[in-house]
Amino acid sequence: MFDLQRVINDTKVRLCLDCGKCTAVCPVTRYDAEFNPRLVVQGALSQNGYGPVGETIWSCISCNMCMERCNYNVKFTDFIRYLRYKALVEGAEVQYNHGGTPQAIMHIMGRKDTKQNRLSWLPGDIKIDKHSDTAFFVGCAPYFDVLFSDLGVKTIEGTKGALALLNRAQIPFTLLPNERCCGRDLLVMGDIEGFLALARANLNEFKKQGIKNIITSCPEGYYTLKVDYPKFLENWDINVRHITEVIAPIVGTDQLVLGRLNQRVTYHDACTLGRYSRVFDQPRHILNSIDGLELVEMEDNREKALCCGASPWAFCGSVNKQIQKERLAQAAATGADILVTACPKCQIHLRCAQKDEESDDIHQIEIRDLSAFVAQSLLPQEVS
Amino acid sequence: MYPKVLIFSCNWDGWSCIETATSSGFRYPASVKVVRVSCLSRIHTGLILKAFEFGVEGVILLGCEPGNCHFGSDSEYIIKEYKKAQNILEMLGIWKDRLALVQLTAFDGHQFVTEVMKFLDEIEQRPVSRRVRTAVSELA
Amino acid sequence: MVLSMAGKSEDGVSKGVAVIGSSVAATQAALTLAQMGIEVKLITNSTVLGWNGAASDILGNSALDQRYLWPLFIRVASHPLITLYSSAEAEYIEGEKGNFKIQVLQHPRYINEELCTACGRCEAECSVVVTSLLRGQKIRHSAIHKPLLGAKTVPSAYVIDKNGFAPCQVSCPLGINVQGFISLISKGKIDKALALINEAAPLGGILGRVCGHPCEDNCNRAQVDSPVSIRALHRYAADNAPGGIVYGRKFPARSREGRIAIVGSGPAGLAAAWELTRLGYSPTVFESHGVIGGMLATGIPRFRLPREVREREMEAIKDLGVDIRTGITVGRDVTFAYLKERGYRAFFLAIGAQKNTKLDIPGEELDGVVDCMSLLLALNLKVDIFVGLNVAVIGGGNAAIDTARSAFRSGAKEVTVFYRRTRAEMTANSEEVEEAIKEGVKIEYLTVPVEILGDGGKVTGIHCQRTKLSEKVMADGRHRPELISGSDFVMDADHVIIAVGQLPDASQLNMGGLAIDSNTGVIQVNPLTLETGIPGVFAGGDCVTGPNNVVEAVATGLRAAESIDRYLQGHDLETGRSLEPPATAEIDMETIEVSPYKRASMPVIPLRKRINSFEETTTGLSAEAAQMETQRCLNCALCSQCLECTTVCELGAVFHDDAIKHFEVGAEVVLKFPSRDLVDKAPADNAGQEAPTEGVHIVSSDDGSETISQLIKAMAVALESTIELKPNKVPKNWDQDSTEMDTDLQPSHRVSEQPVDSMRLGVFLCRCGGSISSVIDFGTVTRKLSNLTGITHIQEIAQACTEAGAKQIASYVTDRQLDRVVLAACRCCNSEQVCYSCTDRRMMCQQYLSQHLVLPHNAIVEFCNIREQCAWVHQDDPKGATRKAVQIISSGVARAQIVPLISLRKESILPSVLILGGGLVSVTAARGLASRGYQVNLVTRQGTQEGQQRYDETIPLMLEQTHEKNLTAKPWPRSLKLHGSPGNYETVLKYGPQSDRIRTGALLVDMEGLNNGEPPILDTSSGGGLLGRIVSRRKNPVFSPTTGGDLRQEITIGETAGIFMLPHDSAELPDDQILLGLATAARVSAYLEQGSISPRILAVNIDSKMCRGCGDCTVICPYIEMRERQDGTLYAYVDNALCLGCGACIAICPTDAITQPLQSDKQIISTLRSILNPSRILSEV
Repeated sequence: MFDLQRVINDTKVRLCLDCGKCTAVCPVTRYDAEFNPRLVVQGALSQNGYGPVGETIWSCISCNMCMERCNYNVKFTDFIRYLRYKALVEGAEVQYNHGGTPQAIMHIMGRKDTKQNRLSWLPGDIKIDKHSDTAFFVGCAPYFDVLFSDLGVKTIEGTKGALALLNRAQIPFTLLPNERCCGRDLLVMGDIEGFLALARANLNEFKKQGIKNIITSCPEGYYTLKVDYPKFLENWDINVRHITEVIAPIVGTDQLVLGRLNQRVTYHDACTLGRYSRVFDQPRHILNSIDGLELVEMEDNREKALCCGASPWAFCGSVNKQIQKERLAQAAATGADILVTACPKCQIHLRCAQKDEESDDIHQIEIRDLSAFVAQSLLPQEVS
Repeated sequence: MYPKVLIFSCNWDGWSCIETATSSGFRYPASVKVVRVSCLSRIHTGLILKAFEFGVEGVILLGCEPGNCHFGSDSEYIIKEYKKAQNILEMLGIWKDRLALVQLTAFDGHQFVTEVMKFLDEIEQRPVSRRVRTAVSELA
Repeated sequence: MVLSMAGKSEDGVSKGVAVIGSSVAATQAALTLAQMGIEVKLITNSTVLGWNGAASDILGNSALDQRYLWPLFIRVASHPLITLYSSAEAEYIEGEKGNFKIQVLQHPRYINEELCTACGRCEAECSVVVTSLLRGQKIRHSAIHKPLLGAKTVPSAYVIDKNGFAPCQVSCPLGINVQGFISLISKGKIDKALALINEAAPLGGILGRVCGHPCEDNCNRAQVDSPVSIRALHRYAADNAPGGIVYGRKFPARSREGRIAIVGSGPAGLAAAWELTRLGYSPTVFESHGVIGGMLATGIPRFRLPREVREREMEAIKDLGVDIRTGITVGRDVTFAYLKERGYRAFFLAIGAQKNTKLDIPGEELDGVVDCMSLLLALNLKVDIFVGLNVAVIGGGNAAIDTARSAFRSGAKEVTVFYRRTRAEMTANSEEVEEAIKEGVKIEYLTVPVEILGDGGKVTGIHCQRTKLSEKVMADGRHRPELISGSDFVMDADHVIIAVGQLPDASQLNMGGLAIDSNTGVIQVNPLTLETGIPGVFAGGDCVTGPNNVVEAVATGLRAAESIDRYLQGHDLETGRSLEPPATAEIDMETIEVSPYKRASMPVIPLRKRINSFEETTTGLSAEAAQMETQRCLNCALCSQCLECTTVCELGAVFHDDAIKHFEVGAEVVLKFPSRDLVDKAPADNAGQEAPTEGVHIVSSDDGSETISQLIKAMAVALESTIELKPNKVPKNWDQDSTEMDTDLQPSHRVSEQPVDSMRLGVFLCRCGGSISSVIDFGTVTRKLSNLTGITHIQEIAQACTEAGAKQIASYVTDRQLDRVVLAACRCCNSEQVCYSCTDRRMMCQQYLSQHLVLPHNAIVEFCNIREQCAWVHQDDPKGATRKAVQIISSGVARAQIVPLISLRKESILPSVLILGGGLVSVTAARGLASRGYQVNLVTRQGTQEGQQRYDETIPLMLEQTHEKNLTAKPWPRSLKLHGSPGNYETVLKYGPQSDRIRTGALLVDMEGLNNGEPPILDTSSGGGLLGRIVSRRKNPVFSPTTGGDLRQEITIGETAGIFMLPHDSAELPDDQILLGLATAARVSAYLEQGSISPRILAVNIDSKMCRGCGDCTVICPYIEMRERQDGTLYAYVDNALCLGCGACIAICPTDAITQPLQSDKQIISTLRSILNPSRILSEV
């Protein structure tokens, strides 16, 4: 699956100059001196690539700041993924969060015979064209809302919002009753088998329905389906778009008229949507097309946006919380009442950081999903 | 061949029921496996789902009746996890009823075996494969 | 190990306290005392703890109560300071306070408590049904049974019900275990039945036919209807044993020196030869006839004892190795002198009684007049023997009847027996007489022949005269017949057979020095030893008794054998021997189990088939008939001693020779807990009404009050009694150095985990004496397990829960240098807690291992229960059970492989206590603790509180009465805060500007005293410190506190960390409050007595790096507090000596920062993987 030399070439780690810029920008290093991207690479490459890799490989949150900064485009996160894969094969024990529930869900979903019952949330007023060759990829929102109910997250509202927007814009789509998790979190953890099981199952579902286009509101799913699936699956020929890419061009046109929201919001770029997929403008454009809305940027935004602090439901600890607090602080500093993000996981992670009972503005700021927020602005449909 | 079922049993009233059952000559099939923990509130959704990931057809959480917890802890914690796990199982198409919470008084071996056999029957009577799922067609 | 000290020899030193009683209260008192470091002798008249038939015993309690009764019993049974004497009675107590001597009588249990695992395999083999009364109900059970029918007990060891000897066995001259062989037949174990018979005597087939069955004459069943047909069953066993006759030896062949000559191969001679051969001698039997068996061959007709049967028996005896020389008449062919020369050192004369007695009447010499012996011999051994058509037989013994019936079978048309007395006096077996009459034999009773008439020298008839029985009684107890003059009559007869008895003829022996009775001709011997006047020469059988029953002959033969053995071994002939039979069992016809069946009648062949045929008349019982007949046995002796339990018990735990023991126990103080006695079996505590003695306390605990209040009373009494003991020293292992305050001591220091470097793992499989291995196929298990990686050694052992077992495991561990062990047995956890599912065996298993097993750490033994949870519950599915066992054990292996090497550091406990609250309870507790020698600080608020009013008089009075210098009273503070860690708490009492810091090992909080405080002295907010948090939890209705006050919890997971919450209710009566106070004092001093405290094995660790400081866990657990890092961020901290190990915090923690070394997610998941996802090695078992 992973051949060392190929990985070294693909990830260009040989080009690393030891300049240390990656380390300088790495949010993890900022709070955990033990973690140091550059040294991880060095260590791993020593002894012809069989050098020691410490526990720290699990600390990377794969936010890709390092790669953003690296003059030689060393794909550090991909390299880390390889190291993790190698460690897992050698029987490393992973410190999962939430009792390993997300991973268990993904593994169960990965089974061929899994027949989910995941659409019960779907409101009756959403119009679905079951013959359409465009599918809306819901992602894990339904599961998240159960799993993190104690955080009061409503990530499924994002999905509903996205579907409402598509309906309003009269863009036909169907839903897949048995779609699987995209598998990104397993992939990032180096659990390649787990990831492939999900990817294949998804491909199979899409083919069964004759799907040619996919729209999704989940940045993770978006990047994984768009970029990773083609790498891992032969004959993947499905065109994948993020909801913002679909909506942005038509907002303000007759096809999609947004309403008014008198609010001061700041937009949080999810790593997989922003740095990974370079989707920076569309969300902002959409937000700006809402009357009365004031969009204020945080200190770190777009390419430099600070990560929500955690990635694949593992090794999230005090360090990650500090990153999250820092991000929330940036948001609070803008004076916005609402932090909007397109990513359900960012929403969960940031809310988690707000959990302890302190009552400063860090804990005051409201966190909303982009699609849900935008859809909220929609005027009631005039009867035609 | 009976369905493969896992029991998470608390060390106290739950375990005492199992012990009483075996020592007073009751029987249950060998496909029923028991994992004992210090208290049911030690169990979380991750462990329950792990059991299903490993291929059990059902999980029983066996513990003390409310108010009888050996650690003075209240059942609210396990009930929370139980509901959470149930909702996830429902979504995964394994369905709620494959996870049961059984709270018994100490030493009630007979009731324990009754509950287990009931659970096994239920699994055999209503196989997951034959259940109706919310389909797009109905929603559209 | 102190379980089952039954019969342990006592040094009699008067130390500690003797607790006498079987109530739960007595048991609690014993534990409390022991936990306070006092040596306890617990003398209970019951076979188990806490059982006295009273309302408050283990059967009388609710499930709720039992939740602390079980652990209580187990702790008592396994506490090193408690010596338990079960089924023992204190006969009397002598001496005075400080030096009592108690005479103890201990009843036998017949089961070794050390070994018995209560697996119940013996019960399954036991064929005896016993009925006994339990709580007034008649219950049927087997003779070997659980101490408390159906219920779990401590000790769990079984017991056997015995009741001396049954009359059948007592009356049997051979002492055959009749009830035993009958019960074996009832289970269809015919071979074993015969073997049991043959343990006592040979010749089963013969005795089963011709024995005079004194057993039946004494059978208790006769009181119901008619005796059990024992002889018929004896015959049934001999005839139907599939394995035939197999005589066992006691000692190997030729293992004993000394040549022995036995004269005569009749029943006596053969029995002697048989027994001597079994003893390892090689005796020689000399038989003058060509055929072996003496009278058996020559005297008893074939229709009663068929030749095949006789020969079968003779063969068996020859097969045993008995050397029999036929056709040699000792005294004629070989002389004694010659035999002596040839090295014969012992002789047994069993020549029988062959010489016929004459009638001494006219005509006896006529042709046609014969003696019965020669006729019977001819009929038995020769062919073509004819008798007359009209046969007269004279006599009334077996010989006479036999001859008559033989004549009937040999062509006689008329057969008449002439007997001078009545039927009652006849010595012939009544069955035979009946058969004879059925066959047409006429019997002329009260008739004597006065002359035999003849014509030309040939018999023609008999001249008889009638008699009547006079008052005169003869030596043999029979009435002397007198002739009635003028009652003459003549009867025709062409063949007259004289059967009026035989006499021994010792003269043929040509042996000088034998004392012979001149008129009976019997050889005179010592009746006990059978020794004649000549040393080394013994005699038995008819030649000693005169004509007699076969069974008596056999008996003398066996007795002679023992004498000869003693003689040759140079032992005294008489010591320890007696002709007195042992006492016969008393039975209670009311309770005894009586089957409805009637006595089986012996089937016979039809009359027509008997004519001209010597075919055996009786055909023996059918299998069905035999079965039914066995059911008629009343099991007078209860246990039938068939020894099947001994055979089936692989552990050798059954001990039938157990007996009553008497010994002395010493004590300084005695506590008696008399209890109302509702049990029929166990005798009542003989508390008696004796005059009160100082130092002997009679505690009326068993008053039907709530169990908990009984226990509290018991604890109080226990504490009071200690005041009378020699002064209590300062608790041991207390060292001053470790008293430094180290509040910031990181838990990780207390529980140090090293990563696993080496990995040499051994798996041990306990057979549990077959109760596991008979269901689970250990061969398969071993095969499958050996495919697992990382197992160094797999070993099957007989029994893990004994000292021997532990040593065996330990030695393997040393030899193979194992550093971790998986033990598949009945023990199911390696934690120190005693949950109420635990058993004494599991406790012993762990105790012995911890004594003998030297491992880097105690947690490294992984226990897997494959007994109750696998072998037992899946008994009827051995394959499934085996498969499951493999899964269970491999999960144990998986856990053992990832368990870190943990070592738990001990912290010393200060020998002092701070008591908060001024109630009567607190004050009493304070005094109690002070009397135990602990430094006590009593913080009281007096008189100010409503509800305290009524104590205003009492408390100051009591304090003033207290002369304990180590008790200091402190005023009520403005505020209070608790620091420190278990064993070493610091309480800061703030009185305005100045404050008082008191360091104590324990803290006792009177909740009411605290809550009544106005203003509250305790900050119960999250920042309120440990005590604040605990108290606030206590107020929280949703979450009751996980500390203090809960006796059940204390008994199960061990003491709390030294913070005791007093459940204070001022509504209670002062008396109850004083009891509660003393009981609390007992608990606290039991805690302090430990001297040191270490974290529980299940205590959690919190990884401060992973902790996000969300505080969710602090909502669950009062012991967890939030602390601040240098950078100001928060993390959760727990002093793991406080942690009870429930693990709720782990489940709620979002980042999995909390772990339990022995119950981590990692371990649970690998358990799941092993038992649910078995890799291919576990497939198709």
